[in-house]
Amino acid sequence: MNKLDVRDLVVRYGRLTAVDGVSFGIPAGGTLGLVGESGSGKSTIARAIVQLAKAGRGQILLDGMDITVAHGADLNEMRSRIQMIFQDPYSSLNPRLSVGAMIDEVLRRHRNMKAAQRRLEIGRLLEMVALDPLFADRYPHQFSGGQRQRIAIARTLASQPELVILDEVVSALDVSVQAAILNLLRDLQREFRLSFLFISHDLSVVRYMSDSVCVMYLGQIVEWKETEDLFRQPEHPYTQGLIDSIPKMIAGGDPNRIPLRGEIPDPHFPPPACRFHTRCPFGPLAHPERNRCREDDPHRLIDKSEHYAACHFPLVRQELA
Amino acid sequence: MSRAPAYSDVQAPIYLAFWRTPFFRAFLSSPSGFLALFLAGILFATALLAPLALTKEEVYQRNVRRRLEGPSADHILGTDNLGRDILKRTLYATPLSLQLALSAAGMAIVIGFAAGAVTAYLPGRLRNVALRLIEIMLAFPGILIAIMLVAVVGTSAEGAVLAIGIAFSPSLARVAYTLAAGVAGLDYIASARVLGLSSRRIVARYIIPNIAETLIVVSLNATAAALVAVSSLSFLGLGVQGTQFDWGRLITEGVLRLYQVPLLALAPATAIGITGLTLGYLGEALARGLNPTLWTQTASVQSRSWLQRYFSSETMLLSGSALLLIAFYFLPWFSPDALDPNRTLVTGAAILAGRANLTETAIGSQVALLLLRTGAWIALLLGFLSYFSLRFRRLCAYLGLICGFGAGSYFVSILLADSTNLGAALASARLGFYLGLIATILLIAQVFSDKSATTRGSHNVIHPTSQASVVEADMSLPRPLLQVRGLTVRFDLESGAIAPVNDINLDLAEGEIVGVVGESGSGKSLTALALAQLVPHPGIVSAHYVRLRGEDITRMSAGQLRYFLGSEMAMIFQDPMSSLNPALKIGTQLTEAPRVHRRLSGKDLHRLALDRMADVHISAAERRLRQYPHEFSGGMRQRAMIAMGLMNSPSLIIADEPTTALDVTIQAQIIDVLREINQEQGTTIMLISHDIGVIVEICSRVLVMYAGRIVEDVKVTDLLTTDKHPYTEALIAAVPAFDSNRDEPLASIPGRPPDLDNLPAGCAFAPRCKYVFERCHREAPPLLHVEETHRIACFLRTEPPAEATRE
Repeated sequence: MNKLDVRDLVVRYGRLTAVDGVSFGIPAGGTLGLVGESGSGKSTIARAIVQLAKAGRGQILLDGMDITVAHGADLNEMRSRIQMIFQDPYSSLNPRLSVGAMIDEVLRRHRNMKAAQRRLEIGRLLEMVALDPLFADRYPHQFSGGQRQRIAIARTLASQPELVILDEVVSALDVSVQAAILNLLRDLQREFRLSFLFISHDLSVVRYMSDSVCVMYLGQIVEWKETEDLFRQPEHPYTQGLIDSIPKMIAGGDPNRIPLRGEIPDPHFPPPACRFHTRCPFGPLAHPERNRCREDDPHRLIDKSEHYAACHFPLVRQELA
Repeated sequence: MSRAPAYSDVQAPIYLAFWRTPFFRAFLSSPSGFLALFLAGILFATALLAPLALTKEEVYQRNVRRRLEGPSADHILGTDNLGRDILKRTLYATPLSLQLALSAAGMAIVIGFAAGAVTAYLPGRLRNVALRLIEIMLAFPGILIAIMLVAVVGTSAEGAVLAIGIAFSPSLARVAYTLAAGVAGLDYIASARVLGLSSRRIVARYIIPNIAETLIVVSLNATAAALVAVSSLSFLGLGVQGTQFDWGRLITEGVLRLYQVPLLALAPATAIGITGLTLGYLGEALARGLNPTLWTQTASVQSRSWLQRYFSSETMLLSGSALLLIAFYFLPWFSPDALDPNRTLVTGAAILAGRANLTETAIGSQVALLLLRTGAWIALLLGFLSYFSLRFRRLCAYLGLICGFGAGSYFVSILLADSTNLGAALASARLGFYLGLIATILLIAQVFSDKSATTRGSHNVIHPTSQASVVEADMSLPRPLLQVRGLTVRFDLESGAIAPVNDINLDLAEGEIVGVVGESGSGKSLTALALAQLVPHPGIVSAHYVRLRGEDITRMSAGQLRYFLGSEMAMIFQDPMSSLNPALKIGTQLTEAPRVHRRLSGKDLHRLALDRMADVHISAAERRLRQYPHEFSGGMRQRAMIAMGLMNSPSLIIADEPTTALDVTIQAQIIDVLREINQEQGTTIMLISHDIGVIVEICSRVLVMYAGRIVEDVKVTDLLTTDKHPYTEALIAAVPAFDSNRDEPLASIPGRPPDLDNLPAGCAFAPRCKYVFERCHREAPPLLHVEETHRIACFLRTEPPAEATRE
């Protein structure tokens, strides 16, 4: 059984359907990557899982129990097992609490410990993220971005979570710091058998961190694959476009890349049928005979319980044919 | 790694004396804290002691024979129309005035904050209704509502308090609402909720502490406003009744005789003013005390001497002006015949001479008095000027203070002399003089020790430095467009000077795209800002020369420079939304620069704008030009920014992280646009980015910056093959490559970038470098050629030591 299963999740903000029928699963100790442009609904999924946004439809199952219908003590207990780390380490820490105090808050809430034990535990948690235990007396403004993100990680570990949602946790950091934080997260995952939902717009980071990857476009998952497969043989043209957009350390750029034209459409008015057909370099824009993309929603026919690509004309199978 | 001391090993200090708590130290970290404490102490003492020290008789007893007198030794501020002492009555009114103001403000604060907080947590529609109600109430001036309410509840002191308490609450409710709503949306509140903390705890530990500062400042300002309002009601006869009187009622009595005895109204008015000032300072200082970012910055504050801390130019100016004003107000009343040599008592000249023989010093005293007054006027004038020119601020402040001391001592001496105690008068006058003298010497010493005072002001101009030390770096580029030598950006901070850009030499050839890469704090953006004359305030930019198209911009006048840079250089920033004016149409913003610089007709301008929009691939340009920035998406805005930069056909575009805020797909498009512009129009581009991938993609050459210096200058084609600076090597290794092994940990750079105010002695990268050897800690490596197109600042590459090559 998966640690987390999301089934047919829909999240609406007023008239905007930010997440539209999304399903995926994360095994215990595994990492699922979630990529897509801004406005694709990645962060909304994260917020729905930690109950900061309300699921309009669908199920969010933690070890088979649905969070969306749980309440009272059950809900509290389940919530403590799911934690989230935010993108901006400058705004996710309360500037008025010392590092020790903010970890102490969590220990008080979730762990039945005496004051002296908590003090020991705070030191242990800080050492775990490679910070000096003496930093407990300092305030967030005294730390660099990377150190703050380490503090956020230590605070998260304090509640002994099983699933951690990492929402763009390294995008505000310098590359050298980013590498250290990614390494730390992977070490902690191995040590505590954590499951990660790793959200990022940076495909190379997602590739490094994830076992499998979901690619999102306008509130839908267009492709879900094992990481190696996805990057070696993307089936959905949007995935291909995203991969092509990343700078590849090739001087002058990769000459073979097929650039994505245009920008993500207004999510209030998503295009009908395949939502990507207005930008697809292999769709009706380039091949007028591919009218199906305009008329028939590829998501309609797919079994979403396993890996898939929501495309009528997937790239790999085209080549094989 | 040796075991670090555990957190639990450390004994938390159990008891800290109040004056040693971080709160109190931050409270006093600025002169206004002292001032607040001092003034509040006086106010409090007055309110407490006045009713005890002054008998009812002294305050109420009429003495018609001595009515409407000027200041004298018996009645320091003179008497009112019934012969009562003005000073005593003003002091006696203190407790009642404060009591009324505090109760009115307290009521307004309680009602207002509660209403605001409740509103913030109401569900959507109800919240809007409540908010509109508050706003409607805000539309009426508070004092008018108060007057109306007084008519309802009856004219009495209690009525006035009630009326003002209610009338002032909407504005406080609005503030409380805005603050609570603003904080509620922040990430740390969201993370507290995810961590499962209870609502009560979130409010107590996360929301209130983060808005407390503003609430305190607002509350104390509201108290000051309430004091004015209660006094106004009393002044109008709607407040305090009967034999009671507060400052407002005293003003009523005084206004009728404003031209005979101005002090009658001025004294209570001054009391209101001082109380307002006290509350303002107190709020500011309390807010500072509650801010933990100041609890730990005391180190940098303490690095200044106590003299510098408490005698900052602002305090000087303030105290000087205050003393001056006092002197000006009181001189005429104390010695109306000061110009009569026979009756002049003690003056500055007598003090200077140290002699008590008044007749001999009488004439000298006239001269001294005249000088004093002239000096005071000049100081006052300079004081006003100082607000416009930073360079004069300190100087003016000192002059003001000195003259103030002089005038003050003169005033004291006359005051005492009038009471026929000549000896005491002389003593105090001398004391005043010596104090003034000591202050003067201290201050002059400070002027000379503070060199930065004279260099401030013209900060955003590059100062040419002497050419004697110019190294004509042999970067013989074929067609140099930009040549920069010795570019330095310096900030003189309280903790010492730092140079985030330190003696940079760089050349850009015509038609090149050069990348500048480095971590945050490496100085890459500041280099760009320095070239564009946009370094923020206290920064000082200097260079041996900066030649653009062969012309040295460090030696141009401001007008020339503006014109030259406007037509030759364009700058593109990271966040296109904040660099476009949201109130103007895109078309207007696009045509702004060429309208000024090229004097084109409207039609030509429009055609040019359409061309540029086409260059950056914005379709439906006609329609787009008529739209506002908010109608553009992020990528479109960045295209519009580039189009705007292109309007004057600049020879150089400096792009500072132009794609960092954009999605990868849009980033790829913007990179393509920049590349096209470079190829088709031959525009030179300097691209600043933290992302070495972007740089490799588009640039032909890359400059790597670390701690304010260029550490490597290399062709992109060589970047992945040849021996590099260890920092460049580490930067590239830290990027998760697309074909890297996912099972291996990423190469990270240990440690963190050095603090600019504490750079290591040798190579700044040495503490993090894995190839470091002894020499690296001793001297800083210069940027030297290893090949014709490759410069490195690293001993390992330029002069490798024997043992290091083994590695």
